[in-house]
Amino acid sequence: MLLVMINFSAIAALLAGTLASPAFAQEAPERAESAAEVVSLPRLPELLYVAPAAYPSEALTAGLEAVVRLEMSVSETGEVVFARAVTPVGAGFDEAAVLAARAFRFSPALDAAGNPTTAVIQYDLVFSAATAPPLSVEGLILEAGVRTPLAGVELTATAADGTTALALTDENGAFSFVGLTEGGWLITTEGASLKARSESIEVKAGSVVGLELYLTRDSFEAARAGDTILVEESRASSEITERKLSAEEIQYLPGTNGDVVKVVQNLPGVARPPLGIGQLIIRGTAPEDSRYFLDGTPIPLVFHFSGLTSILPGDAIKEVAYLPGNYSVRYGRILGGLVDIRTDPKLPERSSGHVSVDIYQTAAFVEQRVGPNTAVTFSGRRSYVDAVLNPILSSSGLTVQAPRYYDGQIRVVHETRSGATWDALAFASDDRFRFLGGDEDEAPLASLVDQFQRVRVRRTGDMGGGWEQETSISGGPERRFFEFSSESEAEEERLTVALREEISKPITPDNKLGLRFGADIQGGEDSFLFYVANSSPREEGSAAFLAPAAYAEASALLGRLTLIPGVRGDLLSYDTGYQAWALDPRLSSRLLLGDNTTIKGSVGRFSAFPTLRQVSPDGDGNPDLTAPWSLQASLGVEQPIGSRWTSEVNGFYNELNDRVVGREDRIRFFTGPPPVGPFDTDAYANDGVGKVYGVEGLLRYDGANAVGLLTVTLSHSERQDRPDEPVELFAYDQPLVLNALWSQKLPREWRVGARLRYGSGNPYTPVVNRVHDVTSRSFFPVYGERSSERLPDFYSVDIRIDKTYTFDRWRLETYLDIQNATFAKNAEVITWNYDYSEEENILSNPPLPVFGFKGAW
Amino acid sequence: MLSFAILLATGCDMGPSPDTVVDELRVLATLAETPEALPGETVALETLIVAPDGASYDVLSWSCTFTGEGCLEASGSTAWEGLSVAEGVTERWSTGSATVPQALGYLATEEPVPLVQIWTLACEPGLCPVIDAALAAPAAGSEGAARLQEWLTSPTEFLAELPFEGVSLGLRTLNVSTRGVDERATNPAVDCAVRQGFTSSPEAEGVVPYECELSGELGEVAAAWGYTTAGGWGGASVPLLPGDTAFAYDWFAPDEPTAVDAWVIVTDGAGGVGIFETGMEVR
Repeated sequence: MLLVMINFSAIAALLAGTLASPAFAQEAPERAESAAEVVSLPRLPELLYVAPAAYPSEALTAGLEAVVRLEMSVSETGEVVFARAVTPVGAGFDEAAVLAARAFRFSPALDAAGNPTTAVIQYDLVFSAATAPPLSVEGLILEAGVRTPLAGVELTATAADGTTALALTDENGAFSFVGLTEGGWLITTEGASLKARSESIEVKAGSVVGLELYLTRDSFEAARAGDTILVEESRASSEITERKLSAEEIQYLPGTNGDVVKVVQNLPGVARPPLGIGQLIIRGTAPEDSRYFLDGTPIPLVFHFSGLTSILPGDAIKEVAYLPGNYSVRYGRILGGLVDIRTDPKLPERSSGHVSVDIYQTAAFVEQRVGPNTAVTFSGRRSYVDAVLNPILSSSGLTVQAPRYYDGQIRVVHETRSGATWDALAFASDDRFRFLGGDEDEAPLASLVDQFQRVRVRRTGDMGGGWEQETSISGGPERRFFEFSSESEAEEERLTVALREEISKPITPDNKLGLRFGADIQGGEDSFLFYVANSSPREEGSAAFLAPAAYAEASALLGRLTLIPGVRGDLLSYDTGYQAWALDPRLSSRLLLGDNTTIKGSVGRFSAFPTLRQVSPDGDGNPDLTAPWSLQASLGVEQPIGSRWTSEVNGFYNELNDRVVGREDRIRFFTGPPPVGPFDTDAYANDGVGKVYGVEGLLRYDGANAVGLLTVTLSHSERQDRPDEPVELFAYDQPLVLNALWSQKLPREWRVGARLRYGSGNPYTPVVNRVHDVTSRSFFPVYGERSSERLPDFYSVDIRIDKTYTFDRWRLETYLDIQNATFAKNAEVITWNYDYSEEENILSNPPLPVFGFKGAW
Repeated sequence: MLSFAILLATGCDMGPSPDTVVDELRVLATLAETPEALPGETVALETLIVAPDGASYDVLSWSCTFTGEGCLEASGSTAWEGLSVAEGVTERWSTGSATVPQALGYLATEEPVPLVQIWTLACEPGLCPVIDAALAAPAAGSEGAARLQEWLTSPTEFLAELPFEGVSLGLRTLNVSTRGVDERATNPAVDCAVRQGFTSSPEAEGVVPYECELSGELGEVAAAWGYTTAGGWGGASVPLLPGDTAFAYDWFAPDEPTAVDAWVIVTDGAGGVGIFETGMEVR
């Protein structure tokens, strides 16, 4: 039975053309422009082999039939190097016909001299349900190790006599061969950035061969087609500046232990916190001026033990958006920058999971599809850093008891029939450690507790008419507690309920005006306790609070110019009678020059609120404090360089106003190393001002097997706490911050990477003399000019080596990550001996090799 | 966090503490005849100042009853009431006195309050302009007196301009109350003896264990600490509890034969100070 009807028609359409290569070309061969090049050939190509064309399954089910007129270029060797449907008929017939035609074999056309020559012919391929070829082979092509379906992979079936047939995987990775003759066939795969694979099969009449092949990727580029996870927004809303790094790239970047959130350290504008603690120091603003968010809602803690690992597993994170300033009115109540960790509101494509073990912790992540519209995720990790630290720290009767952390997450995602998504997430984090004396029954010398729990329910969906809606309700307690010598202690507790409601209509080619309206309401109860023995009176207080906010933003596309004006209003009210409000107008713009050069500029007002301790009547608070605010401006240019390079330069300016100063703590329990220098113990007041300006640059390389990143930030940050005090450098002023990193994929699934970090040391106030209290054998420092000295420059080199073993259904990843591999002895925090005669600096961490395993499926 | 943890975990080492070695000019202690006094009362002072190798030094002592606007001692008929200054001093003990201003009578109560600061500045000869200014004995109301008063009212400001080495500024306070002599706090007494079987003439790198006896009432933050011109005491300080009558304190000899002076100072946590002084010969 013939498979198809062969019809050589329109022979007059023969053309002679130049073909690029005898291999199959995706593009049509060049056609002769003039009729003078049309020639007659004494012998046309003769069809020797007709590859069977797979009948489109849906068309077959529907009983559809078709005739596809193909135009084919036949080479001098008789191979079809190009084929197209002259008049597409749809229903999948065209694609099936073209795919089959590529496997046809001809004897070549002959010219007048009798030599083989190229020719273009037309050919009608008939699809008749009665004569549809039987299914011979069906299967799936999946990515090895992750079992992700691979679409667009071409398979070639080759018989012993050289005849071939072609198939192409669909979006589910499925493929099929039809009408193959009995006997042995070799199936080979070919896909962009995929390693080829071959499999021998035996076709027998009346049976279908099932085949499942796992292919491995061979470059970063292929991985980048997957999850895009890192986004740097210089301006949020409908258009953003994207810094895309795939999940795979982030995981293997040196110096971050594969932590998705830590990758922010490498971005322009981010200064280096001392001792690697996880503080955000963005564009010269204080850590307390910046914030971490989870899907737009602030979270109290992002890193365990202030810098070890983040509290959320990377698999649960879709994007890490870094917004250093001039961001959308969606975000408020902060003066600096922010990092918004965004989970994926959509269902995962498939079930997956991993178990990982390294020097710090064991972690597990399981994501399971439950039915077609629901997925459940369980994840968590538990540290055993206490087992690592105890042998190091135990000496002379001092022991460390249980410095440990854990976190856990449960998430349920459900898609409704209307396309809306419900997303319920419960997560918790708990950090504790205690230092004991020789007797475990005694009160601890020092103890720290840092914990919070959250439940969040979110709904996202289309409202119709191009409008999108997002509703989120979250809440939970948080607590931070520090105790020293059973005398000094500090505690902050908060119970928060947050509601976020936003509707938006983004810019599209048909809609030149985008809109966004939202409400961001927080409420709950705050409490604090602060006491330093023999130094300050005990302060404690609590109050219920309500902080409603509303915002509106428009995005106008005016040719090459996009304007985004917005306004946000905030209110804070405590039940102590304190109330403050703020109104923040903002404007951002992007101008496209040429094909790919973008100029962007922003200006806006950003406000924050005092803390309860600063306004509480229970302590030394000042209920007359107003909201501190900043004026931010930025101007920059983005310029791709070729296809592999991206460059960007931004200038920024931040003017801080009405900063709350006064009642400076001698011990900053929760915000970093202790301050050094004279303390401002006057009452709280909005007397502080500040100024930050600088320029940041980024150069990035995205290669097939390598990623490179170079960021440089030059900045100046200064403060003036009281009108009658001199202007001084900000405590974390770092005029130069440079990060250069490179990650290279090698054969056999090896990867190597290195990161160089170089930056200015932080300023400090020198001790120029001291007073001896002769009745207590203690010395009081006499300070010189504030922030007049600077620690030595900081540098470190981090190295990472990865080796992955990919099996069909799972993979094993092993890595060695060494931070500060050159053992640079950077002075991080300056301290002195008991009489201030010698500096005793706390140095950066010694090289700490982290060796880990991860089994993923 | 790892570095912070390591910092916190630094343990106590019971060998010789280098913090107990006096190898530069230093004001070590000021002993007040009585740590608590009445308004108008004059209290005798003895200050222990140690200079390396017995070098000479200049010394300036003054008291300040700070009122918020300045020291009461600066408002008398002289540039500064009760000022004591000397140059080229070689003795380790200098004497002086401090008079509690009568004007504190309206503030004093039964409860002792540390109202009077007693400062002692020791400098290598010619190093401290403030001592030169005091030696000039400017007349009250003169420009020199005004400058001297400014310095003595804010000692940390002139100290910031002085070099780190060769300068030592000591501070103690004097409590003021209306209590009678029998009710006031007194200085604790400390007397130490070498433990039986050991000698105060040890060999180099040897140990001299002392057993110290205490008398007097101790408060919650009482402590003892030692100083020595060579070698070192075992531990920078020894915490004491109310009711303690004795404690042990080891002294470690240097690695070379030399004559050594050592002191043990006890504070009762309420301003009272006791001092034990001894000398040893390392063979």
